Amino acid sequence: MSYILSSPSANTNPVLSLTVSGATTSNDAPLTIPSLQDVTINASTDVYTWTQLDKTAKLQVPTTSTNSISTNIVVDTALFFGDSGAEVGSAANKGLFKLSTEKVLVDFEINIGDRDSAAGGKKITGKGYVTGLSPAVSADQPVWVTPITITVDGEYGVASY
Amino acid sequence: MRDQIWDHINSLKFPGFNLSAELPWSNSGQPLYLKNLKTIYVDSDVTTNNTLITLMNGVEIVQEITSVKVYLATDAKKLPNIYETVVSGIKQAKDSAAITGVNQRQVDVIKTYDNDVMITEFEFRFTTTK
Repeated sequence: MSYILSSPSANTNPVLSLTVSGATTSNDAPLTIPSLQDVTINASTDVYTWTQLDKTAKLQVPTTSTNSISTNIVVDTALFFGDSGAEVGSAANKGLFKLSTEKVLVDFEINIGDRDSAAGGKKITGKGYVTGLSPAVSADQPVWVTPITITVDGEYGVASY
Repeated sequence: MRDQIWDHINSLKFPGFNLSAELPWSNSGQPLYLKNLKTIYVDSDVTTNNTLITLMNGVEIVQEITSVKVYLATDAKKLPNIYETVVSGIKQAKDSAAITGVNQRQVDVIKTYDNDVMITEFEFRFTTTK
């Protein structure tokens, strides 16, 4: 059994990458988010439950899933407000704030395992919308931190590097 | 931080009190402030780092706390008339405009006794985030 570790020195730390869905070569610059505090990949499947008189336990079958990716990041100016030097209309140019307010459909990918090794790592992919931004700062924690939720439209995919 | 605190105290000019440019230790190991009463000594900076946020890409956001101690020894039997004014004035170094870029400013005042000498120790702490 080989465990999946997260280590920045081994390129196994999770990095979230967002690209405008359907982008052409003129606006496909990705928004790369390495400054993650934590990541949760949610795959919550709904369940249909019923009872039968010939059964002592309820019967259940899975139905549709509600998928999302949740993370907390430290806010960076270029990350949050966009890089004016990046391709106009790209995710890097828009930044998280505009991707959220303009409700842009994005392609996302996040690695689980080694980003540099086809044998060592996989990436979870899909499409979704940036939601759940709520940047906050306090006197005791004087660094802007915000949660991000990628509300996934459809299924996850799995790909190799 | 030591320079800014020293400059602030120096600007106050307390009559009957001196401000030394030296650090508060002597070669023999006995603190200089015990030998020279009513002389204010400002120690050098001490810095500690506390991790505030750890990111998975290896970056750490830390809080750096810079501490500076100031010592004043006076006769324990009879305090100078302006003693409280001196203590209040030294404490105000915490809010010196020359100290910038800090998130928190704190000062503690502790009094101890060594025979017939009362030692007033000020500990200034300045917190910055990096």
